[in-house]
Amino acid sequence: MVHHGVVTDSVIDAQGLHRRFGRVVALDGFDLQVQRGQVHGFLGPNGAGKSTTIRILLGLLRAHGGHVRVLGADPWHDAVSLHRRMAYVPGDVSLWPSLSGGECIDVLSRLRGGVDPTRRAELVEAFELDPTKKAGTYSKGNRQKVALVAALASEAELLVLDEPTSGLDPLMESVFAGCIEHERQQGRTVLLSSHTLAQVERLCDQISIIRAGRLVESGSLAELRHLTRSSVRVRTRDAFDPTGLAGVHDPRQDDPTHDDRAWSFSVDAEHLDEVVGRAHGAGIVELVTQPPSLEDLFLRHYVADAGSGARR
Amino acid sequence: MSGTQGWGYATAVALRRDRVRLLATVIGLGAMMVLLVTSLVTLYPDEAARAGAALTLDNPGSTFLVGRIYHGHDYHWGIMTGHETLVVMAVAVAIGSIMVVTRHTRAEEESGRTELLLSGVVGRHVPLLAGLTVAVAFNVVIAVVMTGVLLAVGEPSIDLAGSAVYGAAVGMVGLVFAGVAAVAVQLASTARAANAMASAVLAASFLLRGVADVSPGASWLAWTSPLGWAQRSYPWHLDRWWPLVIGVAVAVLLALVGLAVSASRDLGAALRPPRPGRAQATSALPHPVGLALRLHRGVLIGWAVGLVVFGLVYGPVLGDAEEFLTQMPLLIDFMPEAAQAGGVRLFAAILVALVAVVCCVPAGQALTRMLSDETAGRTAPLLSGGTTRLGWYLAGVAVAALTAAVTTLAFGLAVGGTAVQVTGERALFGDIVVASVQQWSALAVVIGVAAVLVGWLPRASWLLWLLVIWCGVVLYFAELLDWPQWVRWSSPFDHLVARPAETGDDLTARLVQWGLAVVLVAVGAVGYRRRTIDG
Repeated sequence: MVHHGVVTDSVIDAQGLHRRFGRVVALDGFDLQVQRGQVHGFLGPNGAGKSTTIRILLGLLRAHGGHVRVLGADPWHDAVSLHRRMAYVPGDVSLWPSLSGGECIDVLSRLRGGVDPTRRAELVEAFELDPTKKAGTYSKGNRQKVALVAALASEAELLVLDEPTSGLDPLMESVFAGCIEHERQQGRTVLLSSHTLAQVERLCDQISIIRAGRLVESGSLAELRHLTRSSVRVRTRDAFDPTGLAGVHDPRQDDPTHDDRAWSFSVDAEHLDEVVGRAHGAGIVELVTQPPSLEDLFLRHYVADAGSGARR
Repeated sequence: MSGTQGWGYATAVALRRDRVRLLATVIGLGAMMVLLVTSLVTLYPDEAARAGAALTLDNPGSTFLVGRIYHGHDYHWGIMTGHETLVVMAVAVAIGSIMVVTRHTRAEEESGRTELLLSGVVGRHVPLLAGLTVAVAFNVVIAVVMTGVLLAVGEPSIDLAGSAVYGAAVGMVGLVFAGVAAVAVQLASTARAANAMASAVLAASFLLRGVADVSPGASWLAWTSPLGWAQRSYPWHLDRWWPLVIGVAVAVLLALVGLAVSASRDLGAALRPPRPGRAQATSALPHPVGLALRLHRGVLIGWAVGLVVFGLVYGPVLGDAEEFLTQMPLLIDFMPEAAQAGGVRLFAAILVALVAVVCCVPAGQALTRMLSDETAGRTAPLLSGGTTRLGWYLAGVAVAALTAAVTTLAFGLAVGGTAVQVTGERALFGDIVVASVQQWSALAVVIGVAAVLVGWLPRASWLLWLLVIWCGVVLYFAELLDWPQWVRWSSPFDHLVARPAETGDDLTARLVQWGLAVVLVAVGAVGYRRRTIDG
């Protein structure tokens, strides 16, 4: 598994992944690149193929086509040795109901090949978990905490987290965010699948968006923003009409009594300069531009115009 | 081999989780063995009594239940134990082994815990290997405990050689069905379905050896059944080990098949990918009875088909029962009423009664399903909608009743139809069908008990299975062990006349049972409307 002389910082390298379930195509040529030390957000609507991808990365499912390396190894064939270097938290954690939370943490840690006891104690404390309660009596959030503690206290190089905070309250979510920050400083790599966009926006350096089994967008948040529209609100001294300008979408007059002098619209990044220039010609009184939120990005890709993934 | 990494630890976790249940099962089975042997020893204290027992047991019905008699000229306690208890003990241990394997494999996979386990430093073989290791340990302990318990009786005729063969035979059957379960959990996508599949194989091997024992021409069929291999070790007579070796070899083979499939398939996958269902519900589905029936449909159809096959196979065997009796002139002297009724009717009566008890299982499941739905949180959304509690409860009772009626009738029609073909006795068909229908009152009582449990004691639904097992035990052993009347009457099925062999009037008993069933259902309804619905 040692790559002599090869400078590879790629922790996850998946190219053209295909996977079917019966007649259902779950992955249709999906690519995913995660570099060492990244906190990588993995987004997509329900059924887009996120969990399938994660299970392939864990060697729990076999890909039907394509190429995949995790930490330089084949996740199906080298599953056991790879798992020593990875930790996984599923979105829906099921624990052995007759064991206590603390016992579950230790069983999971032991099966993962070791745990840092101080870190374990810190995490139990931070997540306010009562490790003496039987797992059968835990709520969904508490079961998730058990899996999170076991994963975060491990010495894994790569953390694979599949919607790890779907059962946590906002307070615990912020504890979780602190933990991920800690992992980043430790130089660990994190693949974080989540529907909490604010969380991804806050935590992740890089983002990949999957839709219908294909990669539709990948890059840093700044890059992704650059590729999409900003929303603009502008008030001018003279009459100004953005309708029909290249790159302008959904122009609306803010206040009909102001006739042609107050507008809201969104504009493609590459046309922003030109559109603002036109407004400048009409004398800008007020100008507010907002970069797209991750939610805007996300929604843009999810709206039903299928097949336009490559559209920029 | 990296495929087995973490085997030891995963097994230790499995044992840790299951220690109470496993210990209780071993103690329970050991106690059952003690009970059986000591009752045989006290019931048949002298040679004359045992010779009499040998005579009465040499009839097609008993042979179907326990197996063909062996070493009948000297029917000592050892032989008695081997002949009368081996099959039933082996079946009990087989059921235990199936449960152990499915609980530690497919049930874990279904819950998502296997995914968590396999994301650790754990080989792909380990989930099944750990389950099989627990099953092997369970069966080895059972074999040792059985041998020990038998020796502890302290009778010279129950010697070490025979006891060891007996214990090993029971353990062998357990191992084979652990292997069957190891394959079943690869094919079925739920633990429930895997249990059903492996239990169906167990039922088939019971019935195959039944045919072999009753029909002299079909003796070879015993070699297709693990229970047949166990019987053919003839403990305390021939003390043969080689049939047990066959069993262990088959168990190993099945385990290897299971391991090969489990390591190459995807996690969570089954042999057949799930088929798509309807995009929209039919108009009947939103009705409580429609929904309850739809959820129970698979169980109902599976059992009905299984019982029809059972009936079709055993119809011809009924014909052999006549021959069986004519070969035993002594028995005719000993059991005049049996001789009068004829071997066919005697055997048919046992089959009808056995099937009626067995049909408690699918009928009871229609009601216990309501409880597992509740635990899974599927009931509250239903009851918070337009469905009333009473409506949902009665829908469950109705589906249970329908299941009982359809399954018993399916068997009666199938076995009656083929029996007429074989024996040429026209009246037999009607008599068998009527006998099947007249079991309904006893089934209604069992359904009533299940309804009370659903209404009042949702956490104690296991009491229902205890009752069903008890009814089976009474049917199986009451005659054999000469139990007092009051014990036998604890089973509702024992209040009925054994049609079509006996004639008699049990109309009052049946009317009382119907009345009791209605009262029980009503009592359950009160509880179901009052109690907290957990989810």
